[in-house]
This record gives sequence, C-alpha cells and structure tokens, in this order.
Amino acid sequence: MANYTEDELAEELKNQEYKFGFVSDIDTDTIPIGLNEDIVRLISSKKEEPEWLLDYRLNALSLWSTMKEPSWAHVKYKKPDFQAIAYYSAPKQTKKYESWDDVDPEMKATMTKLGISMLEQQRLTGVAVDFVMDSVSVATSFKEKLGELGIIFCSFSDAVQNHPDLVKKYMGSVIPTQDNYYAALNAAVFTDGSFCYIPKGVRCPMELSTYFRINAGGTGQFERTLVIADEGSYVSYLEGCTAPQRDENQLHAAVVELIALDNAEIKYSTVQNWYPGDKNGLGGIFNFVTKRGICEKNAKISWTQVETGSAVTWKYPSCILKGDNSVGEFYSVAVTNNYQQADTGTKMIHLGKNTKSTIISKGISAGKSQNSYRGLVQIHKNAHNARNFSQCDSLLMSSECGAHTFPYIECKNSSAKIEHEATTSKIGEDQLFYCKQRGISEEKAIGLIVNGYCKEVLNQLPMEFAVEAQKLLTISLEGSVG
Amino acid sequence: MEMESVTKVNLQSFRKNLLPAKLLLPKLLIDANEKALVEMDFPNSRQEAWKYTRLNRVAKIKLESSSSELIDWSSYSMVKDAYTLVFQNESSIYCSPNLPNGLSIKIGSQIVATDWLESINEGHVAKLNVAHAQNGCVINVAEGIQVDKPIQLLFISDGPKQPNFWRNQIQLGLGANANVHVGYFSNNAHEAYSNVHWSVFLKENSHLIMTKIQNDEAANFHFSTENISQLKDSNFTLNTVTLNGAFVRNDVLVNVEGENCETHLNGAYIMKENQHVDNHTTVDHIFPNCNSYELYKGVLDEKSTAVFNGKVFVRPNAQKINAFQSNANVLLSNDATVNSKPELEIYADDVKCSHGSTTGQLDEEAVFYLRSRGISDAAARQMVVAAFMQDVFSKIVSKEVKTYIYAKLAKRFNWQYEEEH
Repeated sequence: MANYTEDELAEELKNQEYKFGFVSDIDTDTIPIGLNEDIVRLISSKKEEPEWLLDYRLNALSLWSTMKEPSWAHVKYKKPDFQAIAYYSAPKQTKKYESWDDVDPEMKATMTKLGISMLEQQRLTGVAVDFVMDSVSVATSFKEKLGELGIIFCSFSDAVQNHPDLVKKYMGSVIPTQDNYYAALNAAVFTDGSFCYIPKGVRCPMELSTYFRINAGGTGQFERTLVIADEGSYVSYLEGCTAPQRDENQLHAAVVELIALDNAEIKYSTVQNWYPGDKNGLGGIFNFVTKRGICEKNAKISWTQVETGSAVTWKYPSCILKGDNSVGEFYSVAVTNNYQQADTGTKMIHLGKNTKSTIISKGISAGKSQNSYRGLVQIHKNAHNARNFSQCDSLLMSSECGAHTFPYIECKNSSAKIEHEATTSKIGEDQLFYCKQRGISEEKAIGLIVNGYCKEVLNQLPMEFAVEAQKLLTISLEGSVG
Repeated sequence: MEMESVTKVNLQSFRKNLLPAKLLLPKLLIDANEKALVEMDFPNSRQEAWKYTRLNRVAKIKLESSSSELIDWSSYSMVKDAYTLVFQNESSIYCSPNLPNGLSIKIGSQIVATDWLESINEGHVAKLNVAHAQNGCVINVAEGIQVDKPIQLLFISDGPKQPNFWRNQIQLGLGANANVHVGYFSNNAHEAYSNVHWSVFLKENSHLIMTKIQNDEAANFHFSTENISQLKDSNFTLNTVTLNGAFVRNDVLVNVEGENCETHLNGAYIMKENQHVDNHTTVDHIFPNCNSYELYKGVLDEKSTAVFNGKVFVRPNAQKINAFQSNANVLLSNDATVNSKPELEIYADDVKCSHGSTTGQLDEEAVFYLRSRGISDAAARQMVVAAFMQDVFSKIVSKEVKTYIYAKLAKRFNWQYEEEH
C-alpha cells in the first residue's frame, strides 16, 4: 500500500473486529438478578464470609441507595438498570483448586485464547498470575515460591479467610465506601479480586498479574483489589481485562486500593481491553472504576494504563501523596474508536512536603469516539516544595471524533511548582512529509508517529506487558505498521 | 452544606430593594427573563461555573440605593484625549460633545428597544442585569469609520451598599475600527455591588480593541459579562486588567461566527488581602480558519484567591483552527490560592490547539541577581513581579493606559522603583 492515507487508516480502525469476543462454554453458578439486602446476604454467604464483612456490605448498600449516579463526566450512555444485573456469577466448581492440574480444561483453553497460558507464563516469564473469571478468582500461580518470601498473593476471598486482620485494616482505608456511587456499589456486592501483601523490605522478584474476564451474559463484574506494600518493599503489579462480544452493555465497577507504606514502591500497570461494542456502538462494557493509592513517607506509586476497550470508560487512578518526599506518577494511553467514550485521567493530591507528581496522558481518538482527559492536581497548604508536571496530548484520527481536556489545578502553597500543558492536533503533514522524504512509506510513517507519540507511556510498562500493549495498539493500526 | 442553606432563599430577597430596569429593553426579552429569574437562586459550588467562587459573601449584602453628590470624574480619567462618557451610579454625568461623523453614543432614555440586538444569557448574573439595568449606552461605529481617538467609558460606583446595573452595547459596522477603554472605579463603596453587561457585535472586517481596567475599591463586589459576536475577517482584542476589588467575576464569551477571524484575550490580575478574582472565558469556534490567543497572568499575595477557567470550543467542521491558551500564576504568600482550569473541547481534527497552565513563585535567582547589583530585596521582588506581568501589559497598545496601570500598581503595592516605558 503505497498510498496509505489517514482515511484508510480510519477505515481500518472502523472495521477492526474485537479478537477476544469469544464466549467460553463453562457451567456457571449465577444468582438471580436484582439488588437488595437478600442478594447481598446471599453473596456473602456463598463466599462464607465473616460477620464483619457482611455488615460492611450492608452498610455500603444502605449508603449506596441514598447516592446519585454521577453525571459530570463527558460521556453519554443509558444508565444501567441496577435491578437487571446478576451480581454473582461463578464458574461452577465444587472444590477449590489444589493445583493447576485441577483447573477445568475449558477454562484453561479460555486463558490460552487470551494469550495468558499459565504454563507458558510460569515457565517463560516468571509472572505470577491470578485469573478472575466473572466473579471469582479461579487460579493463582507461583503461590509457593512467593510464600517463601512472605509475600501473600491470593484471591480477595482467600485473603478474607486467611488474612482477615490485613483486610480489615486496609480495606476501604483509601477509598471509603461513600467515596462515590460506584465505589459504594462495589463495596456492597464485590465478589472477588486480588489481594497482595509484600512484607517489610522485600522486593517482589516477579511481576504479579491479575487477569479479569467477564464471561457470563447479563452479569456485572465487581472486583476489589488490595495491594499493600509494607515498609521498604517493592512490587510491580499487572492487570489485564477482556470480555466476550455481546449486544448488551455489561457493567464493570471495580475498586483498586494501593497502600505504599514508608519507602515502599508500587508499580501498577493495566492493559484494559474490555469489549468496546461493535462499530455501530452496540454493546460493550461500561467500565466505571475507582482506583486510588496512598503514599506514606518516601513512597512511590506509579500508575500505567493502556486503555483500548470498553464502550464507556470512567476511570481516574489517583495518588494521595500523604508522606513527605512521596512520588506519584500517572502514564496513560487511551485509544477510542467507533462510538467509544472515555473520560479518564488522574488525581494527584499533594499533602506532604517535597511531594512530586508526573502526569503523562496520551489520547488517540478515531471514528466517532469521544476521548476526554480529566485530571486534578491539588496542592494543599502544607505541601511545601510540591512539584507537578502534567502533559496531556490528544491525537485526532478522524474528522468526526472529539478530544477534550479538563484539567483542574488547585494550589494553596506558594512554594509549589505546577506545570500543565496540553496539545490537540492530528498527525502533522510536516511530520509525514519528513518521514516520506526519507523513504519511509506513508503507512509506516503513521505507525512510527503513533508509536513515537505513545512511547513515553509504553516505556513505563514492564517488558511482558509492553509487548502486549504494543500489540494492542498495532492491532488498531494493522497493515500499517511493519 | 452550610452554604446551600444560606443561599437557598437569597436571590429573591437580594433583589427586594432593587429597582426594575429603566432601560428600554425589548418587552418580550424582559418578560422571558423575569419568568426564569423568579425561579432562580444563587448558584452553589456544585455548579461547575461557580465551583471555586462562593457567593455567600455576595448573598449577604443588603443593597440600598442612596443619593449622592456629583463627583469630579476627571481624577478617574485614564487618558487625556478621548471621547469620554462617565456614569456615576445610575446617572450619566458627562459625555464628550462633538462626536465625529460615524460615531454615535446613545445613553439611557435615548436608547429605544430596537437599538438592542440582544438575546438572553443563562446564569443569574446576566439575568439580574436584564431585570435591573438602570443605565448604559449603545455605541455604534458606522461602516468604514476609523474612530480617530479612543473612546473612554468610566463607571463610578458611589456610596456604600450601592447597587449598580449597567448595560452596554458596542456595534461595529463593516470595516469599522475602534479602540475602547473602560474603567471601573468606586468611591466610598463599602459592600457595594456592580453588575455590568456588554454585548459586542463586530461586522465583517471590523477591528476592536477593548481594554478593561477594574480598579474598584477593596470592598466592592463586581460582576462583568462580555458577550462578543465576531463575523468574517474581524479582529477582536479584550484586555482585562484587575487591579483592585473585593470580589471580581469576569465572564467572557466570544462566538466566532465567521471565517478568518482573530481573537485575542489578555488578562492580568494582581490581588492581595482577602480579594477574590475569577476569570471565566469561552472562545467558541463555529467556523473554520480562525485563530485565537489567550494569555492570563496573575500575582497573588496575602489571602487572595484567583480562579481561571478558560474554555476553547472547536465545533464539528470548524477545521484549520489554531487556538492557544495560557495561564500563569505566581503565589507570594502561603495563604493565597489559585484554581486554574484551562479546557479544550475539540470536535474537528485538522486543528492545532494547546493550552498551558503554571503556578509557581518568584525566581530566587532573578531576585539574587538584582540584589547582587545593590537593589533592595523589596524592590528586587517588585521588579520581578513587574517583569512577570510585563508579558500581558505589553499587549496593551495604548502607552497612556500602560503608564496608568503601572502608576496604580506602584501606589497600591508601594513599588519603590521607577518604571520606564
């Protein structure tokens, strides 16, 4: 294709089909639809939960019922009917998995299709994986090896049973139940998720990874992730998501809480590829996620996200920089196509002295999609010498899409330095010309420019994920990138 | 929230002592406006446009008109040689005789309903203005006329608790060219309230520079709304300089309704004490091939707060737009606050839009450089502040106005050095 133009690229993007759109034929145990106290009790009893957690859920449900769905985001969608969702769906399985060999072969096949073959991953990459299908965690690998170091990496329900003190102490400490509408909903009906604890001074030797998949129809997924890095520890955590192709809109309302104690560091990476709906905007996942981390003294939290999926995304991974000298980072690539809508960004709350934050956000919108960056940088009165740098760029690939920037910058300290810049443009004719003039074909040039545009963010991803993310991006540019 | 309960009933009781509009606005417009207004309340901070500006201080004022003595306006004059029009509260106290051909200024009762080319604005500020406008002017520059001298409009709010509602319009004909200086002042205006509304219409190929100096006393609450409509090939510049005032809110909306237009919005604010300044601007690009530039800079000392909310809209099919927006702030005190919200909403792809926002402090190295040359610490800091603001002031074409601004700043902030211009 010598004359590959942006129009053709846009056309290809439009016709791009979702490759993870299969449904796995697995028996599931799904409870009736609807949301009320009985349902919450039922979920809790199915999970054999202790009394305090049931109380926590019931309290959340009563708070949620008094709250209103937020409408400030730059997205339009039909509000989900919360009474038409089944809040619990689990692959039918009578006993817990003792080892990898016990896992249902159909489920293993699902994982292989997703490209996360556990055997392969275990052997080749040394990534420990927790796989969450619909509502429950089905497999966790490398448990023993991690156990030797005192690292706890298990499903959230296991943690509730085996490490109730840690769960009780930290759950809801960063994102309180009443934080927002979807966080409250999650607190009432969450089913599973991942739990991770890194003990003092331990550097986790491998990447920890969770794979989320919504499989059953008519369900929502409400998982909860809690990562605690004790003093002086380090962990890199990966999260991936896919879902089958369906005409309905499924709801995904997760809560992720990170706690980085003194001198600890958490690196949290997400490749989000929920089903985005078809090219006419039918179906797709509503991704309403609350993610937040808290940094104590000298701690660091780094969020990296590559967002390519979901019909509607509403997501603001945030950092509360509470301790002195703590650091928060946010690197994001958000791609929207067809009728996708994304309203995503971050919040950096500077409370401690000498706190630093960096925000790099790259939006790419194509088709008829709307892509918004919404961010908050807040410098509190005692955050002396706080420093923030934000850069939010948008790349427009079609004349019908939209790219928007809504930064909020609030400063109450005179020693703070805050910089924000944003640009919006399409691929420059001059950039294309420059490449072509040096013998690079137009299609390669577009690939080159898009890759270069995202590089700052992709560089932040761990190796294994960077490959996947790059693949995801190039899927959108298939045929144009060499 | 406490504030909501305070403001719940207050817009109507706030209006209680206000007189109905004396200006002859079209009746249909007044009726529709009133219907909407009786349903309204002061907005609270949950409304996005008032997120950082709380109105409880305003809601609490008990307004009452008082008669006042005629004041000598000449001390408020910013430029010597100009066509001048002066308002003291609801009266127009001076208008230059012998206006040149092609320039007409109608005041108060001279204005008839058909002179207004208005539509109603949303929001309580603009609606209050329609309901209670006491005086104002309609300035018309005829086709092809270049007004030889600047037009100077002085609005003086006189007396405590004085409410003032002024409503004005500028109409520029095809290819017309004008330079308008507007000054807001107050005299003994403790807890006074002023609400001024401008509608500005630029026909094809016309050129307008509007420079607004807000120099109210430190206890005056000031609301200013400017609605600008630009047709093809026109060029509009608005300079907003806020030097003083307890509470200042500026709402600027520019509708670019033709191709090849150019829009410049410049703003400067230097505040101290308990003052609050809020600049809301929207540039709405409806047609292709236009450029807009926005630069707002501010310095905040003591307990002052500033809000900047700039929005650039690019509508679908408004291709080849270049829109640039920049906001920079310096905080001199730990009790000062800045809330900056530069926004882009882009629905067309062949555009170049960018914005930037910075907040920081004076460059200590620059201060040290000056001090090492024998300049006192205070003077050095003042010089760095002046240099920071120079960026915006340099956009003001009139030398006289620039000198006026520096003189006011030097007095208010005890600047110890002489500025050369």
